[in-house]
Amino acid sequence: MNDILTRWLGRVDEIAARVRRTTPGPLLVRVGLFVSALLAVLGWLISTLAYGVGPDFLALILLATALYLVHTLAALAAVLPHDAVVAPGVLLRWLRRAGLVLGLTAALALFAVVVPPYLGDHAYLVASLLGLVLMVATVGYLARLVRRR
Amino acid sequence: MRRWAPTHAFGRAVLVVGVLVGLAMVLGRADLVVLATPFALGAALGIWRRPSRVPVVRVSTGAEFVGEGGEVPAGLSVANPDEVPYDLVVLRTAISPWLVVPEGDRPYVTTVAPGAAADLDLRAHAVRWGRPAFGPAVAHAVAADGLLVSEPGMGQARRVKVSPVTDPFEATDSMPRAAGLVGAHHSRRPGEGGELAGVRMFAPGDRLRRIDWRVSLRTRELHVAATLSDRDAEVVLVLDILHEAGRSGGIHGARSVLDTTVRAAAGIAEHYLHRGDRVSLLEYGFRARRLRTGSGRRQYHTVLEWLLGVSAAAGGFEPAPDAFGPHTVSTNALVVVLTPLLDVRAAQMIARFARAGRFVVGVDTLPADLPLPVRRDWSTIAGRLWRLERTNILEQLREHGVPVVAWAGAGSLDEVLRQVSRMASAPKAVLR
Repeated sequence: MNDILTRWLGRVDEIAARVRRTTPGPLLVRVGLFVSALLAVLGWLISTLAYGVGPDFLALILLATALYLVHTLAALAAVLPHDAVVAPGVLLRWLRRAGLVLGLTAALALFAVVVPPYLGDHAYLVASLLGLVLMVATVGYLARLVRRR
Repeated sequence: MRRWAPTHAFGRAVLVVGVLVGLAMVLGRADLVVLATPFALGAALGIWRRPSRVPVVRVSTGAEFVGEGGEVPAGLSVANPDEVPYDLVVLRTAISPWLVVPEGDRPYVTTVAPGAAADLDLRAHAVRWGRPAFGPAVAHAVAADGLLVSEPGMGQARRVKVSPVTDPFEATDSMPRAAGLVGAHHSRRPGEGGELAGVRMFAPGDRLRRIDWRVSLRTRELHVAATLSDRDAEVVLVLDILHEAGRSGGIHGARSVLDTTVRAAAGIAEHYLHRGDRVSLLEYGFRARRLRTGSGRRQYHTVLEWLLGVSAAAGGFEPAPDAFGPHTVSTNALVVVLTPLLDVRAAQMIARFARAGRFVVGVDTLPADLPLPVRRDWSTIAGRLWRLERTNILEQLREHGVPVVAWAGAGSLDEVLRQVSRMASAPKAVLR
């Protein structure tokens, strides 16, 4: 019984020491991660199950933002030790990069929401052509990457 | 060229894009493509311009030689030799427990522009003598939005020489046999010196300024003032490093046996070298290291550096007989043995020196408050028996003519040095 108690107390001490050493930078990253994941899940559930309606432009952007933030902040959290001393420029650069990607995504989302009503019956043709162009671009990109390696 | 490895985030990005685009094609939903877009864009932008070289790390220290309790400026530098910036670099360094660096045990994270370096300045506080190491340092770089991580770049450790703080030591002028040529000890031999020994007739070779004109005018023959020579002496410090005992707490904490031994040796050497005597050091241990005899300030610095290499080897092996013994010490030298007397072989070594006719003084370096190991019910009795046995050994050494005193800084050796000097000047029976 004493051994079990000692082990538990040891674990509590370890957790307390970990909490004491945690610095604000990595903690902000982890909190941002958690909040983003929560927003993504809740938003998706509400829009697809409760109302049965596909997301509109704003909801789409918010969902894409939340999912991408979860992904990129998880990537940052994975490489950032919990007790690290972080230079402010690290987080700013990371968020700036994420902002650029989300900005481009918003532009694409606007295109995807606004344009289809104007295409009428040609929507599937345009979508297929765009998909083809995208595939060619992807193959070319990958080929270029492999050649540079 | 070193490699970069993909992270879990890379696999996650590829998987999410694949699943969402696949679902979009099957269900005909453009919004799913929009959801996949940031993943694909982020990966594409990151990987298109990715670095190929790992970070270069350098460790530096500002001072090579400091005293215990001194401050050492230390620095870490991580450079990006590539043309592409790193997203971030995680820098870690190992630091000896005898170098206290505030926040030094934390990882540091910073960005590094291409062709540039990020510097981290730290201040280390040296708390114990020796050669503590600052470093090695390791740096991992992350690029492509956390999708790629580099192999570690490593910086070699730098050792700092921390000299022991010398316990203040003063001793009387008693020296059993000052046999050197020029020094600070009064001797009974005629020669150039400061102490007058009378007036005698002028002889060829006498210095003109020694002429005593008052006596010469009275006797009408040249007379000179005769003096006794001042000679230096040789002191040999023997350090018993067969065993270490006690836990060192650095300069601000408890002393172990080696701490007391090294600091006492530094203090005694400083005292005699300052007076112009010659000092040499000898290690009673497996390596039997020896520092040759020397004098002056240069020898003092050499002594301090020599003491940094003192360490107790595991196993407690004695030195080879031809490398260590009375034959390695001059007959006129004063031998000061610093020993905790934990091993009976140390007492036998001291007795050998005494039987060989050397002037030997023992200094007990065992801390008085050293806690003995406690194991069940017999520890107290066993500890007392051990202490009684040790006291017995000390008395046997005294009977051999070797006084042993506990180290207490200034004045520790005054009484025993007087005893040894009296014994040296006493008539000795010689077989004819």
